[in-house]
Amino acid sequence: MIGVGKIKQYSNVLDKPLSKGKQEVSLSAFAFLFSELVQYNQTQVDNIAELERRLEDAGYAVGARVLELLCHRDKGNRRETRLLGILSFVHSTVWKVLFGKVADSLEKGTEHEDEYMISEKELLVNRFISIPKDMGTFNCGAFVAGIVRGVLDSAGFPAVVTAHFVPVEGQQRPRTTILIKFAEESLEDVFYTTAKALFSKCDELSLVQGTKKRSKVGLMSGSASLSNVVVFIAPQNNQG
Amino acid sequence: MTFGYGTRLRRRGYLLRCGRQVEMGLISKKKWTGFFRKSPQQLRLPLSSCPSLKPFRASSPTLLYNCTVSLDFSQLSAQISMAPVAPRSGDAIFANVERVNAELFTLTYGAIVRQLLTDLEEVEEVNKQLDQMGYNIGIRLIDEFLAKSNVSRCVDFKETAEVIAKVGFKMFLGVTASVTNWDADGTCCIIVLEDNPLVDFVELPDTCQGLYYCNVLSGVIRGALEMVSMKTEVTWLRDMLRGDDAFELQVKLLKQVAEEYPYKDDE
Repeated sequence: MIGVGKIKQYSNVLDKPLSKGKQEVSLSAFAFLFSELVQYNQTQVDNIAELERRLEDAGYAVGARVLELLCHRDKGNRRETRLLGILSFVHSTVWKVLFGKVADSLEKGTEHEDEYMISEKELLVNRFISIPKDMGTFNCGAFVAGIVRGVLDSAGFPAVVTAHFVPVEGQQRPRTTILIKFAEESLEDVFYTTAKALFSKCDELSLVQGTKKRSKVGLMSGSASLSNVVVFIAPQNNQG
Repeated sequence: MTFGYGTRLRRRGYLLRCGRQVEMGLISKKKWTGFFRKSPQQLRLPLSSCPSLKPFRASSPTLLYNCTVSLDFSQLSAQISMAPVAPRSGDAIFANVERVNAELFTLTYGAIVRQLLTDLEEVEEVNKQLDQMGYNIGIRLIDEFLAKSNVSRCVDFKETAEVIAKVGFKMFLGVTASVTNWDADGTCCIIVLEDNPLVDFVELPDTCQGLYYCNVLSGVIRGALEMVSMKTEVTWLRDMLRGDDAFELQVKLLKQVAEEYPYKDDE
């Protein structure tokens, strides 16, 4: 009976049909593995920041692959190109696939335009983790922050993502907030950026961004002879 | 000793042998009942004589028993017997435990392997480290396995291997395995995995041909069996990532270590 198994052999991993993503393993198996990841990384570093960075790197690799996988499987090879779109994709789709539920909340930072927060009362990876006092603000959520950064970065929205504990009144365990601070280029309109790149060669023309609709770009002549003729171009399919 | 060791003691059936000292952290009544199978009252533990066992209310509504000071069970040994419980099948346990998406598990494992490859550079070193990680998991996983599966002591190594394949793999990874190719003494067999969630999306590049990608699994088995006093050697015979047509693990029993008394693990 050797070699009689359910698994078929494929010469190339790409020939293998993509699984539907319904397969599950026990939570403890994951928890054991994750704890090994943390413990191994602890031996490789000498400070907390470094440890968080390494966990984030591990998460980044997961995130980049999750984006690829989900876009291919669930979204017919399309991915979100708008900032809010990708954020809600992370908050709902990615979270649902990875952690079995939609994240508790997605908020926009009140102080800074470029900050968004995903909060989770009990992050899956923090379920069985207690942080020793001497490790201060260390948060294993760095791994999840890495996943989020991986997804955003691969989708073309570079950001700095960090995980923080936020104490909640009346509750013993703090909740975890994933803080996303987008890099400047992420906040720019994709269409505007593309148009800018396209017309960058024309010295005569300068671009103005549409004020009402963000994905509308004005093309303005710089020379005085064509007094302020503004041609507006809008993408045909505003969704994309 | 700490709370987590309760299961290990219970499994060995000597939890409350005369003269044993058991010390536990803060535990809830439910957990207490869970592993003594009797409530503190049923134990007829003289609460007054044991100041550390006074129930008190912590900030949570659960009644907690603070047993940080060691309890001497010498007077109680006769009163406690372990209720026999039927062993559960792998499917039944898997259906009842909390589960996560296998893709998260697979990708996280992939991230670990990639990190090891970057850090250690040598494929041989990575194999070793993966095995070590598995071993670390195994020595802790056995407690959970025994607590949830209710399996009693296996009569021989054959039964042990069957239990690993049918219950162990199923309850943690949700996959089944079969045991074949026993040698004449019944000390060496092959476990064939029917499915392997670790290797989804994986292809080994030419530079990593010597890598035993799933080496963590062999470590887990080795670690877990060591905790039930069996020294084993677990090696990959066939690995689909290396071009074979199945995942086959060879488990070889080296020796059975007799349990020594007095037990040292709860110092």
